[in-house]
Amino acid sequence: MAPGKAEVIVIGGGVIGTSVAYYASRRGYKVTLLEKEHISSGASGACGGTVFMQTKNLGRHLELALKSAALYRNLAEELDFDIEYSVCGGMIAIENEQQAPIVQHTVEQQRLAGLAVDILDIKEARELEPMLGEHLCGATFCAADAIVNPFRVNRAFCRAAGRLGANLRIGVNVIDLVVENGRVRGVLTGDGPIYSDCVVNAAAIWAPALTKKYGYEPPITPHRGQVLITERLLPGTLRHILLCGCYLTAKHHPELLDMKERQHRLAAGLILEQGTTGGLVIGSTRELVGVDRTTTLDGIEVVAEHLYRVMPRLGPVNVIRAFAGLRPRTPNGMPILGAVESLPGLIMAAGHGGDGISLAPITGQLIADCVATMN
Amino acid sequence: MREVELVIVGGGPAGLSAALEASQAGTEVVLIDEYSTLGGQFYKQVPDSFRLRNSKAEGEQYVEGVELIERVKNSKIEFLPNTLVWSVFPDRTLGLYREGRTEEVRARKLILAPGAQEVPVPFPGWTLPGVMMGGAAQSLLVRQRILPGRRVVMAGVGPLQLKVASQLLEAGAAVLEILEASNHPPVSMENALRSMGHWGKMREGMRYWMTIKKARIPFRHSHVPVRALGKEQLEAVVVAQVDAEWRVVPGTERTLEADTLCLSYGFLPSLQLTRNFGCRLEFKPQAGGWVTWHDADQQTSVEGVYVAGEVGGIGGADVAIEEGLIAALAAIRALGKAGTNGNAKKEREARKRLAHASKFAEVAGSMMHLKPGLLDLITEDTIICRCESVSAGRIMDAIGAENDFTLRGVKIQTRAGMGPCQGRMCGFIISRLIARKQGVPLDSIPMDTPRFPVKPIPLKALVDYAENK
Repeated sequence: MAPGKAEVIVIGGGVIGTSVAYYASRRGYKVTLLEKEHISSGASGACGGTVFMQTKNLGRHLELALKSAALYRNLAEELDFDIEYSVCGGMIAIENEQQAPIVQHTVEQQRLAGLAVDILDIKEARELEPMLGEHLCGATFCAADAIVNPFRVNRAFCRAAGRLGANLRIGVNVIDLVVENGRVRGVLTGDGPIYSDCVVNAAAIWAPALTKKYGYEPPITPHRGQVLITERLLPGTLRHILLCGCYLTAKHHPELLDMKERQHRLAAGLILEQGTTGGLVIGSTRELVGVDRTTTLDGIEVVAEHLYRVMPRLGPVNVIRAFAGLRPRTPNGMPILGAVESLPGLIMAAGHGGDGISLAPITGQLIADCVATMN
Repeated sequence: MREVELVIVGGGPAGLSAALEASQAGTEVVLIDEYSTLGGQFYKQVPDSFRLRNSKAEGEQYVEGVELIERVKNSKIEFLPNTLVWSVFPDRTLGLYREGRTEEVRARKLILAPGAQEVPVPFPGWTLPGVMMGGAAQSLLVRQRILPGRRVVMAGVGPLQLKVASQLLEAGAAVLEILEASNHPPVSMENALRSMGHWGKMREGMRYWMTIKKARIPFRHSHVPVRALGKEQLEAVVVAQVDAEWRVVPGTERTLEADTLCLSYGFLPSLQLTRNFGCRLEFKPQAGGWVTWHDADQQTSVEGVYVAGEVGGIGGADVAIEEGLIAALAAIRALGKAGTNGNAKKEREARKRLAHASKFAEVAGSMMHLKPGLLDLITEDTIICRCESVSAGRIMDAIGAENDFTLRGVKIQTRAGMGPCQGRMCGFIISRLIARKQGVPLDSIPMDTPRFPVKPIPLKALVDYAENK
């Protein structure tokens, strides 16, 4: 292929972009990946590694997540890179009586859809996860929930794509699309134009800005997620990945939330994991503040309070770091995947919200299918 | 929230000087330090729970500290000991943590005088117990009255190790050898001091030198430790001669049996507070690399935030004292509290003394400048990030992989810098490894984004802080 030309251009070097680059390369396409900063410089480098099934909406969302989970099982071997994947199981702590019926209802629906989720009383729950506070009402348990190291997933896809011949252009900024007669013909970069009849937009929160002037503006907005990291704790301090019931309340019954409370105003819902090196990763707020990656005292306190409420025994543990990531959210919580009818030659792979890590493999595979259809 | 006219962080020479000056002018002053007693690393005082029979025996510097602290006690300065500044917020608000509790204080004007940290110099075995920084050995000895070891090898660059060596000797340790990495014999430092009229410093240096000579301790310039050996702790140090660029001269390796190795390779400004405030940094290779930029009044790029001492560039205590004074006078003026005509004269004299002291700092800085050969001691297995146990081999593999030439890129790949110290130790080394591998100057490698909290704080303290507001 002549320089300045590519069969497929992928914009964005996060987990989604690199996954697309990998799966498309595996199908034999000559891919050029363009990343303006570095691998994991956006949300993929400022997130946790939970691969939850329990949190997905029933229907297509859960279907995608299950398919993605199936791909994760052999991914480390396939990519020849340790991604620290472990099917550790996940729990949703039921904090109070108000949350109980909502969780109950969700679990019933999930079981009808074929996802094995149990509801445990607090005694049973604490046997599985001793750190849970005695005062809680109980917890759900789903054995299919898993954890992965997001930085390593991102790197693994990137390197595997490179080995399959993908041209990784890192530090190259995409300024504009090249559009001729209403059809996408490539991209204009800081290093000049690159031509291709197939451009995949995996630029997360930056995705809409690229296509807006061509009349297509996908509804993706940045949601800031503030995350705390603790000092290293003994392995097994936390045995599962964990959420709290207010996550489901916020999702299915937002009217029950008291918006005067700071926690609800910042849309904070606990999401917790213990990383492989022992530190806890504690999320997260979900704030609509534009492109602003600063951490705030408000956000940090809310996250800390929430964890302390659910696991009071963690009180003496040192918090060593806080950071924020910008999740690319869509109104219905579903990613925007596939060819854009109004702009032939453009494929969207963006808007994964907080599901980017769990949906990365299936996204790459689906988009590779889409590329094949287009060609 | 409590509001104070002037908050000063750091009770070393700079902070003490600033606090005394401001308080004397009738300013309300809160002075904060992480340690239990004032004095900082320079005056190194024993904790209040200790009683010294004869503090004069501790030397002039110690006594000077005692006198300054006495002046603080007799002033209206409010001293908050054992207090951690765990976060900084807009409007010069500080989150404090002390005695298991969190609180906040807003400073109308703020002087940051957090001092310096010692330069980390990695080589195989440097993480073994028994290998420590010179200042740490000194703290153990002077503050806690603990002899760090019996058989000690001193290594580094510059005059501090002469002082530590003579203190260790007097305390009864066997100092085996003093290794000076540079090829300047100590007399060149003395000459420089003499030529500039720094008689006090020169006398002090000569006294240490005499102690060392009298004890017949070999002083070897152009020598560095290249490996620390031992199973559970330090058992021996392999030392070697180096050339002018501090590269090991082949065939000169020798092994010294020792239980302690003290490293004094100079200092780096403690930038965590100014970086968290968003103060602009500048690169000064002779003053510790990245330092906090400030104007002639010691004000940083953030209005109302002043710096004094090492945080604005390594310069030593004499510089720190004058900068503290100048910062205090500027802060008082900004508070609208100036008034007395004496201040102008006082400031003029302080600036004159500062210029004089800065000259010495410049000479010392250039003599203590680290040479590239030091990085060659690092082997693949040498741990660079101590918090996360990341080896040099992994870091070198990460540098440049997928075009990662930033501290953040290397951090994401290897976890180096993700631990409790937030890269305060390894960042210095990794930026040098990046610069070397990429072939760019050091000042083109920016520091990583500072993160909340400034230093680790218990989860419960954050929760209490939220509840108490």
